[in-house]
Amino acid sequence: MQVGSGQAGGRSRLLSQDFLAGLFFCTVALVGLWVARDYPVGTAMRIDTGVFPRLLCWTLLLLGIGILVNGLRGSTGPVGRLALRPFFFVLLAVIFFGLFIEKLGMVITVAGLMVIASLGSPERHWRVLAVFVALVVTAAVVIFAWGLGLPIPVWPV
Amino acid sequence: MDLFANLALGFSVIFSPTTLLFCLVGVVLGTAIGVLPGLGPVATMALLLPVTYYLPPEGALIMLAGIYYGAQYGGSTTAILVNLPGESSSVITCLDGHAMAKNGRAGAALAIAALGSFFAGCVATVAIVLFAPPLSAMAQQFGPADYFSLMLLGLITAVVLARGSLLKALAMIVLGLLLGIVGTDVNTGTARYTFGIGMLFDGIGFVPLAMGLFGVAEIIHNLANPERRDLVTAKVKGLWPTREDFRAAWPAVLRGTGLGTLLGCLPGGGATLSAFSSYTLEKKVSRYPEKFGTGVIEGVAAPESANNAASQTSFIPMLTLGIPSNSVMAMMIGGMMIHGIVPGPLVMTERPELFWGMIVSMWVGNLMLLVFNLPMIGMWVRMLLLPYRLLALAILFFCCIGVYSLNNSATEVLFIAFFGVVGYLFIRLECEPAPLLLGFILGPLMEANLRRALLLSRGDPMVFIERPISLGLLIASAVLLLFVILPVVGKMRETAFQE
Repeated sequence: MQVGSGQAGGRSRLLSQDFLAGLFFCTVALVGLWVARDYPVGTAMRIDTGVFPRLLCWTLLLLGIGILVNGLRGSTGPVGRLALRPFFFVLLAVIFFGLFIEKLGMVITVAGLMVIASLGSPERHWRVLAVFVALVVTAAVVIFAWGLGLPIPVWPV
Repeated sequence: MDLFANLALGFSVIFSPTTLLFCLVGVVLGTAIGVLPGLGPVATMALLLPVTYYLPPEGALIMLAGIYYGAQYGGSTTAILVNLPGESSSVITCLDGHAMAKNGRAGAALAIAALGSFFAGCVATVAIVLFAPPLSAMAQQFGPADYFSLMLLGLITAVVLARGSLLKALAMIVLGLLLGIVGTDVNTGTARYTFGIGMLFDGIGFVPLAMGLFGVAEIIHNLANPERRDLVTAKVKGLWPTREDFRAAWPAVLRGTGLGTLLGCLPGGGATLSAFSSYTLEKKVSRYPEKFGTGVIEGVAAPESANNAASQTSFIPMLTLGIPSNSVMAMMIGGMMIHGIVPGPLVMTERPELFWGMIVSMWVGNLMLLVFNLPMIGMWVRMLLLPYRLLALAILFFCCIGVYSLNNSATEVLFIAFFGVVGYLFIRLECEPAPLLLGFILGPLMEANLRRALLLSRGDPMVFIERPISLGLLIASAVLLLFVILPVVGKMRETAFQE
C-alpha cells in the first residue's frame, strides 16, 4: 500500500480512510433527508412512508459524524492511490457490455468485454488472451444462446 | 418419532438423481472456488443466482448450500499447498498447514483437514436437526414487535463480531437498510428514492448489488494487487497421517467442532471467526504453544473443523427465523426469494421437503466431499496454474451475462458497474460490505414489522418494551452495544483478531 505524503500532517488526515468514509456517509444521509423532505409522516398508529427513511438518515448522519471525527483524530491510515488502471478498464468493459449486447450480439460483445477488461491488468500476453477469449466466447454461445435459449442475438442485428 | 419421519422425507428428496446431481455440482463448484484465491462463496453464489431461477427450488438451494461448505474444504487445500488463503476462513490454516507442507507432510495436513471437516460437518448436521425444529416452533410465537427487536439484535451482533471499525460497520448496516427500502412502498404505493429511474420502482435488485459489491469490486482490487503464488510443487505423497498425528489431532477436532458449532449459530459468527477462535484456543490449551506455526497438526485440525461446523450451523438462524447471520446466508435468502419462498419459521411446516431435504443434503454433500476431494487434489492444484488476470475476465463475463439474463435488461448491467465503483471505494475506505448486505435484506422486513407492531398497539411505542420477548431482545442488544463501547472489550476484540 502506498503511503501518502507526510506522516500525520493536516492534509493526510483529511485524506485518511475514516475522514473520507465519514464524509461519504454524511453526504448520503443529507441527500437522503433532502429527498425525503416531502414524504408524509402519518400518525403514530399508521406511520407513513417518511418515518423509516428519516430515522435511518438521522442515524447515518450521527454515525458519519462519529467516523469523521475519528478520522480527524488521525487514527487510521491514508487512502493511498486509487488503482485507476483496473478501475477504468473494468468499468469500461461492463458498460460496453451493457450498451452493446442487444445490438452487436454475443460474440462481439463478450470478446470486447474481455479484451477491454484485460487492459486493466499490467501484464500483456496476447496469444494466451486470444485463446482464452475464443474459449469463453464459444462456451458462452453454446451454453447461453443454444443451451439455455436466452433471447440474446449471437451476431450483430 | 417425528424426527425420523422428517429425516426420511429429507433422504427421499436428496436421493432423486437430479437433486443428487445438484448437490454434487454445488460441492464440486464450491471446492473449486474454495481452491481459487480471489473468488469467494458470496461472489459465486451471486453469479449463480440467475441460473438457479431455472432449477427446482430444492435443487437450487441444495446447490447453493453446497457451494458454501464445499468452499471450506477447498480453501484448506490452497492454504496448505500455496500458503494463500483460498477462503478468508482458511487464513489461519496457512500458518501450520503450509509449514507442514514445507516439511514434506502436505498429505497428512490435507487428510486431517478433510477428515476433521467431515466429522465437524456430521456433528453440525445433527445440531441443526436437534435445534432447528424447537427454535422454529418458538419463532412462531413471535409478534411483529418481537421480530423487529430480533432483527435489531441480529444486526447488532453481526457488527460486534465483525472485524474492523464498529462505527463503520454500523454505518454500513444503516446504509444497507436505506438501500433496501428504495422503490415503491408496498403499504402506500409511494415511490421512494427512485430519482425518476424506472428500474428503481421495483427496488434495487439483489443480484446486481451483490455482484457489484462482491464481484466487480474484488476484481478491480485484485488486479491492482497481484499476488505471489508459492506453490509447493513436490508430489503430495503419504496421504495417510501417522498414528501420532491422529492422537494429537482428534482432541483438537473435537474442540474445533464444538466451538465452531456454537459460534456458527451467532449472527456475524460464521466460518472465519470460528477458525480464528479455535486456533487461539488450541494454542492456549496446548502443552507446546511455542511450536505453533512450525507445522503442528492441531493448528490444521482445529480451525478446519471449526470453519466447516460453523458454515453449517449458520444455517440455523436463517432456516428458523429467516434472519441472515452473514452475507452467505443473505445470498441464500436471496435465492429463496427468487423462488417466491419467504424465509422464516413457516418454511419448516409449509415446505418440509425443502427444509429437511436441505439438511440431509448437507450430510450427503460432506460425504461426497470426503470421497472426491482427496483423489482430486492433483486436479485442483493444476487449476491454480490459471492466472488470476484470466480468471477475472471469466468472472466479469459471468457477472454481466448473469445479470442481463435475469430480466433481459441492459440497464441492470449498468447497475453492476455502479455498485462495482461503490464497492471498490468501500474496499479502499476499509468499509466491510457484508453488513450492508444484511441490512439490505432486512430493511423492508424491519419497516414492515415496525409498522405492524405500531398498528396493533394503536400507535403506542411502549409495545416494544411491554412484550417480554421483545424487551429481552432489546436489553440484549443494548448490553452488547455497551460492551463494545467499553474500551476493555474493544481491546480484547482487537487482540483476538490479531492472533
